[in-house]
Amino acid sequence: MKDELNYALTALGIEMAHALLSQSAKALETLGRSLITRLPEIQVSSIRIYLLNDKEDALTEECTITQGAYIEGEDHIPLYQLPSELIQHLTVIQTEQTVSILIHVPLSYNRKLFGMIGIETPKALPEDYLDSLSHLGYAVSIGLYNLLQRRQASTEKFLFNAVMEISRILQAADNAVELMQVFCRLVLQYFPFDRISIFLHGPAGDGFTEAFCMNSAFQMQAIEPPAFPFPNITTPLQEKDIYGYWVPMMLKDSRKGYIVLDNIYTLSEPSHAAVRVLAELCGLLAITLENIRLFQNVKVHAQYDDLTGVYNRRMGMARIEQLIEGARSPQDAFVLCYMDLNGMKKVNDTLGHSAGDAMLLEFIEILKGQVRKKDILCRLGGDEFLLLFPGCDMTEAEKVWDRIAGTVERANAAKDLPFEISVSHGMAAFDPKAPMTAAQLITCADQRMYEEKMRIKGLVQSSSV
Amino acid sequence: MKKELNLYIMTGFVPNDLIQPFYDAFMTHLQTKLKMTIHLRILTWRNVLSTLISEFKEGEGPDVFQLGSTWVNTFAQLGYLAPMPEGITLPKPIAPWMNAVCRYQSTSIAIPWVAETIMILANRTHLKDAGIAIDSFDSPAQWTQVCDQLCHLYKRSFPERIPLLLSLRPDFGRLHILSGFLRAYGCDFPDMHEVKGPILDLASLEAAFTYLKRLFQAGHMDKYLAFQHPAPIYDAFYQQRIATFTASQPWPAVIYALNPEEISAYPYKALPIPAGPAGHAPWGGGSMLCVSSKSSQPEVAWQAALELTSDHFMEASAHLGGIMPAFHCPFWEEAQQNEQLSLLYQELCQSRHYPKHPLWMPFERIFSEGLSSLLWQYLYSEEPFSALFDRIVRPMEERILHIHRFAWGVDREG
Repeated sequence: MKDELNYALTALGIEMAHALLSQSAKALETLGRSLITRLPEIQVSSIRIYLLNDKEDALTEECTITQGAYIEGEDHIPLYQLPSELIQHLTVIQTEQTVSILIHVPLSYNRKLFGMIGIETPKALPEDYLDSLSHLGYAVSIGLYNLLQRRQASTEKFLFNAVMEISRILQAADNAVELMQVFCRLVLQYFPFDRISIFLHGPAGDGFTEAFCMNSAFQMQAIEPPAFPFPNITTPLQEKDIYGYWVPMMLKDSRKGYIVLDNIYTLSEPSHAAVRVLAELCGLLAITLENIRLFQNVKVHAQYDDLTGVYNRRMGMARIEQLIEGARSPQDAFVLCYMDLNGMKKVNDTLGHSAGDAMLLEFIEILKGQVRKKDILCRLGGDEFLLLFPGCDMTEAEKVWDRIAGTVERANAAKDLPFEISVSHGMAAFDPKAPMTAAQLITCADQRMYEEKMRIKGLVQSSSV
Repeated sequence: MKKELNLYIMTGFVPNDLIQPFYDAFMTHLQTKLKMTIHLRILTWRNVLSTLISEFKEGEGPDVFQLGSTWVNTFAQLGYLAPMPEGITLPKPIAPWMNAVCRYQSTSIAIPWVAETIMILANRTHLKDAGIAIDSFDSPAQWTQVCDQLCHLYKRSFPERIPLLLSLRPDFGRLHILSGFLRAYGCDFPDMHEVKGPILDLASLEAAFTYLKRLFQAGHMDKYLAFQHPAPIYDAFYQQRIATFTASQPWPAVIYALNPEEISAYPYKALPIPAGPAGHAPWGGGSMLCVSSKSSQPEVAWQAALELTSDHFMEASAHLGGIMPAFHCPFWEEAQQNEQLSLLYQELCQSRHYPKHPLWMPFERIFSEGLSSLLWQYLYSEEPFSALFDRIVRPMEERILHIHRFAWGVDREG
């Protein structure tokens, strides 16, 4: 009798395992229904299917199947509440519940528990039947384990697609802020996390110059980095309490910052497969951010004067061309002001080049404080500068210049500077009705500047006489 | 603009086949009134959180949805909830804490809908058989005395019965059951924004758990009963009727109070959890109706939500499912004539919610698992409570404090 039962249950288990091999959706429901109707000699009230959670400390109910219903799982059994015969020895256990009997059939692979089937019946079963059920359990385990592996593979395929899309975004990025927003959004969209936080080190590598987080509603905000020390890691580190991970942003052997992924709101189990993939993506992100930073640096050097931070000659000329190109109506008129600092060479020779630089910087600060927002500053070279006044006529431009001159005078009087700032200027107005080239404008303004310089020199010489 | 509205609500306590026909009819009425197709989806409490968040992430999800009172603040903080338009006048909620739950940064973001509390549910037939006429317990000790009394009686005359049956698995909702008992002994949850050190008090927690241990012994509960799957416990109490007492939402008592002719189907009465040395502060919770910030038609969505608070809907829900309205309405006006319902009303008025915090969702889960584990160990091991407290409660609190450290970007002002 026992042999027949063993055979019957083993055969049934193998049949169910085969069915699981080919199914995906509704596999568990089908398994449950088969068990309800086909277990020989017993009446089954319900079947409950449990799987071990990622932390491997509890069995989480996937579903309950009764004669008439499929119910999503609600139960959660910590392993310490289950008999050790079940957990460690993988023995079928029968327990008497209040009004029914529950038979726990362990599901295992390579002698390791990965789940359990709970069979609820109105009457207790004999020991022989329980032993035979273990054969069913072994057989079903193979099919169910295969199903779980296929689900895992499907998840990994999904992750692969996610990686491809995110990689495409990284390759096309040229703006750091937009890049990080899109990166964060895609990570949250594709990966099962509630929140992503990014902390970026400064160039010196200590402290954080930027920190922000995005939640699952894709709201991004700047944050204060927490005061506690971050882990010194080069590979992802699990942060169990928030069901998350620290992922270092590595660029070669240098850590550029951290990404923290967590499920702080839902405390959902994160996917370990996802984190492996994300670690690679974070490395790509670090490379991309570094490339953007380098490109910005090059761009800055290509456009701006290193010392004063204003446009360099190339950019200044380009801006003049832009204004000329865009001038269609009288409102597009502009004024070009050519400036030359007087006595710069003498300052360099007598006080040194650092004093000369200081004089340049002082002058630039005065200019920045007096010009309008839309006015354009450029250093032609040495002690020569251009100031462009878009949408302006000569009268208005001269008013601005008067302010600048007044401020220079006050600075000379008030500040304890080792030098006196003196500047010559000449202005030329661009009229769209009688357009000039950039070279013509500059020549005109330069000539006027020279005339002023001579007048100033004359005054100085006559005063010194 | 699409002519469809998605509405998600959670399964109640009553089997769907009893209440589903009413929902179907009401949806038909709603569709006619709003001139819109309504897709109603019923979710379980277990899967609603992950379903909502993953759907919102994909830019989908419901227009109108039911949300547990402890989740509203979190969802508001995540930006999932639409603000209530001006001009909507809501009826006054019963419990004082409901207003705060339904507001985020001074804006209304939810409508109080269903009120819940935890009470003792008693089988009237069992009490009658035992000759016990009681509407409330003067003290926790009196309840254990009654359980002792029943135990002796049942051994002699009703061997299939037991005095007490209760599920204490660390699921959603388990903390609700424990809260009333903890508060009766002075153990409560502090303002979680301010915690920097120990959260729960050893002395009051021990007093509460010592009482529970005594109660479970008197109630003849063993480990297989207390920590079973909730479903057989539910069956055992409501279908098989083998236990006299449980602790639960009082929905069957509501149905009985409204339909006393249904005594054979719902022979239950609700009694308050007895006041302990620290008094009586029943747990209060419930559900709110919210409109998604992703909804393409929020005005219609709010109209639909308001329809779900109509007198007709709430009356029918109460009769069919024992669902109690969270706000003042004709149901509660009439309820004052009914002893049981007026008791429930008083309980709701006195009820106290959990502390409002955007991270209460994970905190509640951690408390639920930790306190359930503590109870299990205290009931079934020889370890002294103070040792268990150090071994289980302190790490539980450390975990919560650790989560706090990661609460950057979490809005304090919710």
